[in-house]
Amino acid sequence: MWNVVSYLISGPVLFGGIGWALDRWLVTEFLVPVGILAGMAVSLYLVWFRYGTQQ
Amino acid sequence: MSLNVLANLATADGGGFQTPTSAEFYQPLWFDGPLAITRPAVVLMLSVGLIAWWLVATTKRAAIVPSKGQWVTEGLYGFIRNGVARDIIGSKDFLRYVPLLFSMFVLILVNNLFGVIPPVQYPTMSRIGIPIALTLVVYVTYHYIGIKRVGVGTYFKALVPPGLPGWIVPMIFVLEVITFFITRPLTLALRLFGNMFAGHLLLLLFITGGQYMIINGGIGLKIAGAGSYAMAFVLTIFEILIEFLQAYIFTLLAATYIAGSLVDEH
Repeated sequence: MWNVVSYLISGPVLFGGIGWALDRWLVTEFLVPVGILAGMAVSLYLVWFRYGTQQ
Repeated sequence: MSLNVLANLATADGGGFQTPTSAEFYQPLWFDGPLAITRPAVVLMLSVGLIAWWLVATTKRAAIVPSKGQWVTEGLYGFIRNGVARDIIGSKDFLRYVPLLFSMFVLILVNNLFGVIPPVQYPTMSRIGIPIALTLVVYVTYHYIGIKRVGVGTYFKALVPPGLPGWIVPMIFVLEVITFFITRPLTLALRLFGNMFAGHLLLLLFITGGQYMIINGGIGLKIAGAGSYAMAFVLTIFEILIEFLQAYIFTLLAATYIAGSLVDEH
């Protein structure tokens, strides 16, 4: 239960952070939201993969 | 918002009610600076002494028909041993970890309850350093178990669940490393700290605010002050529930992490 929460926090923070770093590096402004969305997608996929297919 | 209104109401009367801030939690008793002996340090030592005395006193003459004290101790121990350790870690190797989990649960529980028990009335866990120390113990334990069991390489390889499509593996791997090494300990420490800190601050606000309004206010504020005390009473009951719950959740999660390091895939 709490592990799912950990994943859901880690994903957006990690990929949002990567997006922020890329934004700084490439002097763009759109990569933070893209990163956050990608992070959400990856976390949700991982949660589904780990906990949703055990039956 | 409503808190500001309350504070303004009180200050409007001219006296100047100071809303409690996080500065309330730093209370050095002897010395100052980094080596100060603070109130939480004293409370923590007091709790360790009390727990040790209680556990020895209630189990020294253990009887088949238990005394009240022995019954409480056995109840708590059985709850952690069977309800947490055996259920989460599994009946094969849970016994090794029962002492750790039981000590953690009792230590956190007593320290949390000290938040509302007079004359102590200070939740030790509302100082961030103490939850961090406890989390470090759990952190080192579960990584040590995992790495000792399978070796460093396999431990990191096993972070990624098998059967994923190849292109997504690097992303998942980074995500798993962050989750295992940063998010988990961070949330474990912050959850306990935040609950105790916020709960105590809320009680402080309602009690000191109520006191101020009753002493300094007009008739309207006196009634509001009585309401504030009523809220403080309700929240104290609620706080006791939270204190039990947080001690339980911390122990439960510690057991979950240890169990995760003991099975083949995390």
